[in-house]
Formats: sequence, C-alpha cells, structure tokens
Amino acid sequence: MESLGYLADGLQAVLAPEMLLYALIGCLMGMIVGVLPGFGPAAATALMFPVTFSLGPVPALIMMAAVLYGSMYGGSITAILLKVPGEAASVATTLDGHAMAKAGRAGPAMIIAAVAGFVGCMVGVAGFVVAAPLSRLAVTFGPVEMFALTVFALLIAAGLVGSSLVKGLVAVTIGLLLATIGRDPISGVVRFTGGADGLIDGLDLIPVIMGLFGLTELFSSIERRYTERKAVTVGRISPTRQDFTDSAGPVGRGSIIGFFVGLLPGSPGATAAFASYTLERRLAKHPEKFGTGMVQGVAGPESSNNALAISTMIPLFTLGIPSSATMAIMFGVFTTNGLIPGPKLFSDNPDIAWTIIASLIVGNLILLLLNVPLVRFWVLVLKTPYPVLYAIVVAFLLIGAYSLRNSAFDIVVLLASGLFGYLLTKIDVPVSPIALTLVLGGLMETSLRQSLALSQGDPSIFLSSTTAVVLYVATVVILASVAWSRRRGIPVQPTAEDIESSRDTTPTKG
Amino acid sequence: MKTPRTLLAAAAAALLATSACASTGGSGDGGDGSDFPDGVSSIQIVVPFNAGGSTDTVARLVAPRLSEELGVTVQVLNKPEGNGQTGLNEVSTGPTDGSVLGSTNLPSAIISYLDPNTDVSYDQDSFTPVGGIAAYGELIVVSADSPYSTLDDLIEAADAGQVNLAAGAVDDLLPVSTFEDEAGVTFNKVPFEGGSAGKVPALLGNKVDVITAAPSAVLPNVASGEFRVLATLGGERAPSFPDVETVAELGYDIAQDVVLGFSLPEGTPAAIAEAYADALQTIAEDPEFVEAVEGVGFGVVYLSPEDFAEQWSQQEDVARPIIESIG
Repeated sequence: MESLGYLADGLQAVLAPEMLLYALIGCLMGMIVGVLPGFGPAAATALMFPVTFSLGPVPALIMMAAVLYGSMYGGSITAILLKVPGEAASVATTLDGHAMAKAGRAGPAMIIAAVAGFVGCMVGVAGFVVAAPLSRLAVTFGPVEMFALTVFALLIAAGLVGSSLVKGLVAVTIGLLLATIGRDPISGVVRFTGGADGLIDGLDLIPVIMGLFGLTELFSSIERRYTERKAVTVGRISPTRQDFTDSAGPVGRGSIIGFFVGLLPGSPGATAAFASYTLERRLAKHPEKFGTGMVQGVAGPESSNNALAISTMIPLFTLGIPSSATMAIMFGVFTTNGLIPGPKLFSDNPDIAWTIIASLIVGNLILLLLNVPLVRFWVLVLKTPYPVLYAIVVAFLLIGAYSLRNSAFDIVVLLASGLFGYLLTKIDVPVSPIALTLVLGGLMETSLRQSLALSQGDPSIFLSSTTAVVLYVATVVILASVAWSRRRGIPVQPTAEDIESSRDTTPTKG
Repeated sequence: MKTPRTLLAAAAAALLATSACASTGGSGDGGDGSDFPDGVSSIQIVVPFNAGGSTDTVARLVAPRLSEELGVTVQVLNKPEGNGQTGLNEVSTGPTDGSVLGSTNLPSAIISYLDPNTDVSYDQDSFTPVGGIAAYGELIVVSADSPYSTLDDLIEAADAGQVNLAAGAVDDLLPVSTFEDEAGVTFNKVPFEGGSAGKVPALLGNKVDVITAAPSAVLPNVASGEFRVLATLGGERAPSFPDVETVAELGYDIAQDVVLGFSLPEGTPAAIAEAYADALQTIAEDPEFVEAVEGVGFGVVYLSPEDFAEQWSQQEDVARPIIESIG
C-alpha cells in the first residue's frame, strides 16, 4: 500500500505545530461564519479565500479545508438549535435535530452531529486513500444519468418526507416552479421574473430556506405563544449509550451514501442528506416517530453531509474538476499557489496532496475536540426566553439575507418564503422537498435539455444508459413499497412540522 | 521567523476584507487626479466572475503587485451575479477617484451588453481603458481516444454527420460560430453552462466529441494524456501548449483572443488611468509574474490603454453581427 506510506508522511507533516495552528484557525473561522444564518460553506470559503493568499499552498489548503468542515458544523448548530439551516444540505438535520432540541435534548443532538460528522469525514478520507480510481464514476455520469438521478431524488423526497405522496408531489411541483424563475440555464433568456431585477439570477436558495424553515418556525411559535412563555429546558448534555447504539447504523449507511454522491458532478449535494434521512426512516421500526426527535434522523444526514464534503474533493484532486461552488474556490486556492489540481497532482506533488489529505483527519479531530466542550456553551442559547431569542434570530436572518448579495430584495424573498412556508405547514404540505427541488431543479432542467440536444430530440436517449434505467426502476419500486405499506394501514406519517405544533400545544414540563 | 509574519499578514487581510465591505467609494480629491494614489485609502478590483476562475486568478496575481507599485492596499471583490453584469455596471458607475478598478475581459464584457436577452445601461464608452495584461485563445480539444487526430479530421466528420460539441453560453458561441462560418460546417452544440467545469467532465466521460476551453481548464488532462488539443482559436500559440498550432496556421483565417484587461469608471481623470497603465506595464515585465501567469495557462500580453480600447472596438465589431444572428 504505497498510499498508506504517503499518508503517514503526510500525517507527520501535519502534526507540525504550525500546521495544527492553521487547521485550528480554519476550524474556528469556519464555525464562526457557519453559525451565522445564511452563511454556509460556500460563503465561508469565499470569505476566507483572500486570507490564505500569503500562506503558501499547503497551509492555505489545510486552512481552507478546515474552514469548509468548520462551517458545515456551524450550520448544523443553527439547524439544531434554531431550525435555521445554513444551506440546503443541513435541511434534513433540522427535521429531527430541532425536534430533539425542543425536547430538551439539544446537547445529545449536537454531540451526535459532531461525532457523526467526524465519522463521515473519516469514511471520506478512507475513500480518498483507497478509492481514488472511483473518481472515474464522476465522468460516467453524463446528462442522461444526471436526469435520472434528479428524478429519483425528487420523487423519493416527495414519497417519503411528507404525510402523503400527493402532498409531497405538491411540494416538489412548487419547488420545480420556483426553480424555473430567472435566467434560463441554457440560453440565458430571463423567465418569470415579473420584471423584478432581483429575480434575474433566480431565487437565491439561502433566503428561501432561511424563510421556509427559520421564519416559518417563528410564525408557528407566535401562534402558540401563551404555552411557550418559558424557554425550552435543557436536559443532559451528553448522549446516552442508547443514542450511540441507535446512531451507529445510520452513520455507517449515511457516510457511504454521502461518499458516493460526493463523487458525482454538478453537486447534487443536498440529495445525500435527504437520501440518508429517508433511508433511516424506511428502516426504522417506528417510522412514524421520525420528526419527533429521533437521533437517527440527525446521525444519518450529518455523517452523509460530511462524507460528501470530503469526497467532493476527490474529483478536484484526481481529475481537476471542481464539482461545486466550494470546490471552485478550492481550485482557485490551488492555482493561485502555482499548483494544478488533477491527474498529475499525485505524481508531481505527492507530498502536498497527501499532507492535505492527512490534514483532513487531524483537522476533523481538532473540530471534534473543540466542539464537544463547546456544546455546553451553545445550548445556553436555548435558555434565552423565546421572545428575546427569536428577536435576535430574526435580526440575524435579515442581516444574513441582505449581506449575501448586498441585496434588499433578498429580504423580501426571506419574508415571503417565511409566510409561504407557514401557509404550507397549515395545510400539511411538507416544505423540505421544496428546498431540495430548488437545489436540483436547475440541474434537472439542464440535464434534460442537454440529453435532448445530444439525441437531437429523440426521447429514447433517456433509457439508453443502464445506470439511468436502474435509477428509474429503483424509484418505481420504492414508491410502490411506500404506497403498499400505507395501504396496509401503517399509520400515516405526520410531517415534522405537524408533530411539533401538536406537541407544542401542550405545555412542556421540566 | 516566517510564520508569525505570514500569520499577521493573514489576520490583517481578514480585517481588511471585513472593513472593505463597510467602506466602498472613498472621499476622492475631485481634482485632476495628479496626486493619485494619495487620496485613496484602498483599491478594489471588481471581478465580474466567481472566485477561483481564470479571470479571478489573474486579477489576484495582479493585486499584490499593484499594491506594491502604487503603495495602496488592493483587494479583489467578486461580483459574478447576472453573468457579470452587476459587477461591470458597478464599475461603469463607480467613483472616479481611482478607488475602483474593473476587471474587463474581452469579449465577455462586450457580450454582456450586446446580449439581446438583457438590458444594461453601459457600453464601451462607460469605461476608461487602463490596458490589457494577459491573453489566451480557446483550445479545440478532443479525447485522447477520439478518432479525430487533426483539425481536418474533425471538420470532415462535422461535414459528413453529427459531431457533438459542448458549448457554453453566448461567450462560447461567439468563437464557435465564427469558426463554423469560416470552416463551413455546423456542429451539434450541446449546451454546457458554467464554463469548463461542466465541459471537461463531459469530454472525459465521452459524452460529447469535442469541447472548446481555456488552456488553464484542460492543462491537467492534456498533461496526463487524456485529452488531445487540435488547435487554438487564438492569434498566437499558447505558451503552455507551444506545439499546438493556431487555426490560422492550419488555414482558417480567423483569430479570436480572449484579452484579460482592466478599466476604470467613465470620467476618471487621465492622470489616474496613466498611473494604472504604468503600474500594469511594470507588472507585465516582472518575470515572476510572467511565470505565474503562464503557470495557469495564459500568456502575458501587455496592451496600452489605446491598444486595449482599439481591441475592444475591433472585437465589438466582430461580435455584434454574430450575436444578432444567434440571439
């Protein structure tokens, strides 16, 4: 195993105090930026990019990688505590993570998220070491396969997240309609903006998900304010042995899903967390309890997000392909330091490549060690009385929405999404498929049109690939099994939102 | 001791990055600009593309050297929204004290206002040219196992049947359409947005037959032997691919260069533009800079403000009828 030898050398290089410091700074900066509503990994890495300029290639890349996973964990903190996902990938975590926080289990939720994230990263690194050839998977996925994957992801989300398939499909349709707003991804023609300049680039995802989740939550809580005068109580901080036992399976499966999705081009990233969540729900003995604070619903998506964060680096390192906005910035970190990521990186600069990979192990360990004690501090947020807490959250949401693009229009988008999300939860339409659709809608349209351009309009191209056919068959089988089990009288699965509102009408006791 | 200093520099950069958001513009001396850069506390280079792209990379290589030349802090600000129109618009209406410098690429800056799908209020006259610093020609690239080993093979095949070419937005269609007109063939253009990030994997996976891409984007895959470059659409051979012939050398009378240059807002005093042009020329002569730029696949080509303005007009004359025909 030649690569293991390189990895050992890399570890040795990373353990230099200087490198540890860069990883620590990166983790801290990433976490601080990630905790701000609306600032996810892409924003955090873009913000920190100039800082790495004078550092040289290895420290710069170590620091940027640390910023990346630091900000991901920062996003999970707000997803759990406040139900404000910093990016589409942490939407799945809000479902049960926030329900756990409301039940006084914010501590275990965050610790499980940190541990699951750590394991996910380690699976990602292991994949990096042994499975670099798997990066070829990325290029076998062309437009035809990508279209099949988006169909799979959206229909599965529709079928499994909501209380009924029909309502799930309603949510997906709403999401697809919203995704068509703005510039046509192929020809650049501006569509459905109603003349609003702020919509020319389409709805910005971040204000929409902050509105759909954070604000919707706020509106629901105003409705029940008399029973919620008191702040949420915080129970024990550390997870029970049972929590860890329950999380083991979801973490294993989530990491593997995340790892493979991360290899694909076009960053269908949020798919992984959703897929993991829905898989755990299918496998659970009591699927109806999902949404009420099941630790599996946190462990799976978190491990899958983090495995994905690492494996998206594989196409960049081995093929020179930046498959997401965050990786495009990493690509820039390489080139501004005179390195070209790609097939020759490992042969020309193995020391650099492997030092960075080794830093992923060490950096994630630092992040874990940093966060477990900090959980005690973060949960204090929940002891803030509701009116005060939410006043602060709204202020941050508004600032976050505005500062992403310095656009007052995004504040309107935030507020409108909040109201819209509130109305949808009133009629029991789940909002999380909308977030996923908004991410995948553009990709779906692009791949559909690319496929048809390749075949010059012949639709049979959609069945021309084995991978695509397998995905379609899997979609049909899973949806049929859902329909079948519902028909047999398995209790209707309530939406997360629904369960929370029903629980919250009864006063919470200590 | 190198470490503490680089760390300090990093911390300082972080502070500046945050303060930059707060203070756009600047006071401005209102005069003829002869005391530039004294009245300016910091300079922002507005890049109308994402961080990490080729234009951004060059701007970030220029920034520290510009800072050294002018003695003022220089920051790079990415404004990729609206295909770069937001950033370019901001530059065209920006302060005239020299505190905002726009990265204006040809032809993409031209296309951004010629594009019939959009409605922007700037054009060439809204900018004060500073000069060009680097240039490249897009490469025509096929997979190493492709049946086409020369440009003539490719054109023959396109003449005889369907050849799928991954093409981006209007930016990309301009060189491709020009080449098609010259060669008298039509490719089946499959839309791949987002520049090379989508096209490179498509070619690696043999989803399309041929792509056009910036040298920097295909450098890794050509070096590893996965891709073969048939020709460059530029007027000169690319420094990173000295063996690749230009289309003109192969008998097609066209040359399409992408010029990476800089401009100031309209109405900026001549003295400021000259100060920038002098700094840019000095940077272009710095061997370390030349090496860094060639390392990312471009050639350093210095253009004076006049030459840059002329290049702009020429490219606009070529682009206008083509955009009208495809728009």
